[in-house]
Amino acid sequence: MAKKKGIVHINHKRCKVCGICVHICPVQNYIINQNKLKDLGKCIACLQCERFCPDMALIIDTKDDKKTPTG
Amino acid sequence: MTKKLLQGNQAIALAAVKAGLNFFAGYPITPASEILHELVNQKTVKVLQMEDEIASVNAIIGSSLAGAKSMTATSGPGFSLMQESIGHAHMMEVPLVIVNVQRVGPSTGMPTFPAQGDIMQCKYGSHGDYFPIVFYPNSVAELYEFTFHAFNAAEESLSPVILLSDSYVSHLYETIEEADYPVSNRTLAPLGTSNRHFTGLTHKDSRPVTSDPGVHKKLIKHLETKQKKVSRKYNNYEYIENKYSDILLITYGALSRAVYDLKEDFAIYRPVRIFPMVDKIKNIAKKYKEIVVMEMNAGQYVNEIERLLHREVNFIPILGGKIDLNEIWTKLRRIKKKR
Amino acid sequence: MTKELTYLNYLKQDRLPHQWCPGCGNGIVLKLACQAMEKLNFLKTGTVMVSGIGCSGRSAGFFDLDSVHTAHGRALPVAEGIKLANEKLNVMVISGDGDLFGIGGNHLLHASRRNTDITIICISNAIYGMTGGQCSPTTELSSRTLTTPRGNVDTPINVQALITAHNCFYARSTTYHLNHALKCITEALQHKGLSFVEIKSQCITNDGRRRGFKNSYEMLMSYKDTYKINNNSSVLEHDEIGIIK
Repeated sequence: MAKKKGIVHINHKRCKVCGICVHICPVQNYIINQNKLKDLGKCIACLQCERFCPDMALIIDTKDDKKTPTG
Repeated sequence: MTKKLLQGNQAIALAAVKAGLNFFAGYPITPASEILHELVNQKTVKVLQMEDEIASVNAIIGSSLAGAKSMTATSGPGFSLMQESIGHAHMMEVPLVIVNVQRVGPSTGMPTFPAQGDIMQCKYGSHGDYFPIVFYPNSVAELYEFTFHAFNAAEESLSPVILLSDSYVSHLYETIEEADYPVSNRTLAPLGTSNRHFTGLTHKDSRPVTSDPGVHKKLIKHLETKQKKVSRKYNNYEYIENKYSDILLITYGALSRAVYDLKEDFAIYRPVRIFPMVDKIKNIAKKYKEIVVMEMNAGQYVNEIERLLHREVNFIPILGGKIDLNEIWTKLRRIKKKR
Repeated sequence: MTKELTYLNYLKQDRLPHQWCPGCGNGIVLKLACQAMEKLNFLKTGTVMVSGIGCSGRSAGFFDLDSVHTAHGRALPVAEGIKLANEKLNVMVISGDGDLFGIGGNHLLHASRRNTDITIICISNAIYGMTGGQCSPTTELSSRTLTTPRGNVDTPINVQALITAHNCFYARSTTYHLNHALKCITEALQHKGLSFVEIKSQCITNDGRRRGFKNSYEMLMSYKDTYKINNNSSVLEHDEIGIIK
C-alpha cells in the first residue's frame, strides 16, 4: 500500500492557535511555538485537521509516495 | 371615477392594494383588525396572520427584502411591541408601511376609544437615532390618499413609513372617490440576486463596522438627509386662515374634525405629515399672538411645536377619548381672558 | 499547486479570519453549511441566509450570498416572510440556542406549526457566549455558568419534542461528528417543509473554561464520549444524535 503524504499549508492570517489540530493529529505533526502553529513534516494526509479547523486556516495537499519524484 | 361608501380601515386596505401591496402580516387588535379582514379577501395580496406583532413586523421586513411591497397594521400596544424592529428596519433601510390605529392608553387602556397617544412613540419609540416619516390624515378620503403616499415615501426613502390613524377616523364611514394616485416602483433589488448583507449593526458597504465612530456618524447623517430629501415631496398640511382672530389652533387627526366647528372664531392649522414637521408652521405662527395646541393626549406634539417655534404655546389636552366642544370652548375662553 | 477548498467559495473569504474566539465551534458549522450547499449544487443567487443575534448571529455576514442579520430572536419570522414572498428562494437560518429557543421561542413554536419550507441550523452551545457566559435555555441541569454559580436548577428545553410535535424534520448532531452533521444538514436542506438541525457546539471561552475543560479539543472529545449515533429510533434520548423525519 502506498503511503500517503501530505503537504500542510497553514494560513497564519486566519489561524488563531486554538490547538484543535495539535491534539487531533494522529501523528503529532503540529506544535505551537511562540504562539504560532508549526508543522513538523510528518503529515499523512488524513485531513482530520483540515476538517476540524474552525478558522479555515489549514489546507492539506495529498501526495502519494510513489508519484513523488525522489532525489 | 367611482364613488364608494367606505370605512376608514377599508379605505386603507383598498388603497394599499392599488398602491401595489403584495404582502401583509398582522395580528388581530382592536381597532385595526378590519384592515386584516379586508385584505384576506384580496386575491393579489399574500396575508399572514402571525403569532404576535413582533413576528408580524419581522415577517414584513423579510418579505419586503424579498421584493414584495409590504404592510402591517396595528394599534398602540402592538406598535409598542414593534418598536425594536422598526429601528432595525431603519438601520437596514427596508421600505415598509406600518399603520397604527391609535386607541386610549397606556397599556390596554380603552380599546374602543380614540386617542392620539402614540405621537412621540412614532418618532422616539425605538432606541438610537432614526428619522421616520409619519402621516396622520383625518378623513376616510385622506386615509385613502395617504396610504398611496405612505407606500411611495417608503419606496423612495427605503425606510418604514408610519401611517397614523385613530379608532374614530378608522371606524368612520364616508363616501370617497376612488382616485388613482401615482405609484412609485421598487428600487431595492430583491434578495437572492447578489451578495449583500443586511444588518442592524453599524455598517458600511454591507460590512459590519462596530468600532468606528466615523462610520456611525456618516450612517446617521445619511438616514437624516434621506428623510429630509424624500419628505420635501410631501409637505402636506391644512391651514384655515382667519383674519379676524389672533389665535391659531393647532390640531390634527380625529380632534381636528371637531375643531373645524371653531373656524369662524379662530385660525386653524393642521399638519398631515406630522414628522418631520412641516416648516411652513414657522411662517404661519408669526401672524398670531397666541398659539393653542389641542391633542388627545397629555402633551406630546405641543412640545415639538414649542421647540420648533421657540415660543410659549398654550395647550389643551383632551383625555379619555371623548371630544367635548363645550369643554374646549371653556378652556379657549380662559386663554382669551388671560390676555 | 495548492488544493482549493471549493466549498469555501460560498464564503466571503476576504472577510476571514472571522471574529470568533479560538476553538469556537461556529466556524466548523459554517464549513458544514458550505459543504452541504456544495453537495447539493446550490446556486449563490437564489439562496438567502438569515441569522439572529449572538455569536452565531454573525455567521450570515460571512456567506457570499444575500444575507440578513435580524434583530434578537427574530430570524424565523424574517425567514418566513422571505420564503412566503418569494417561494423560489432557498432560505436558511443559522442562529444560536438563546436566540431561537429563548427570546425567539414563541416564533419557533409557531414556525413549526406553519411548517414553512425553511432550514434552520441551530448552533447549540448551551450558553450565552457573546454576553459573557450566562445560563441559556439548553444549559444542562446543575451546569455552572455566570448566572448559575451553584449549578443550573432548570431543565433544558426539549426542542426535539417541540419540533416533532408538529411532524417537522428534526436532526441532532455535534461538531465532533462531522460526517453525521453534514448528512443532517444535507437532508434538512432537501426536506420540504420546516427542517431543524440542532448542532451541539463548543464554547470554550465562556462555558467550557468554567466547567473545567482545558481546551476546545477536550470539549470535542466529550461529545465523542457522550453522544451515540441512533439511526432507527423515532425518539432520540438526550445522549443520542440522529435524524427524525
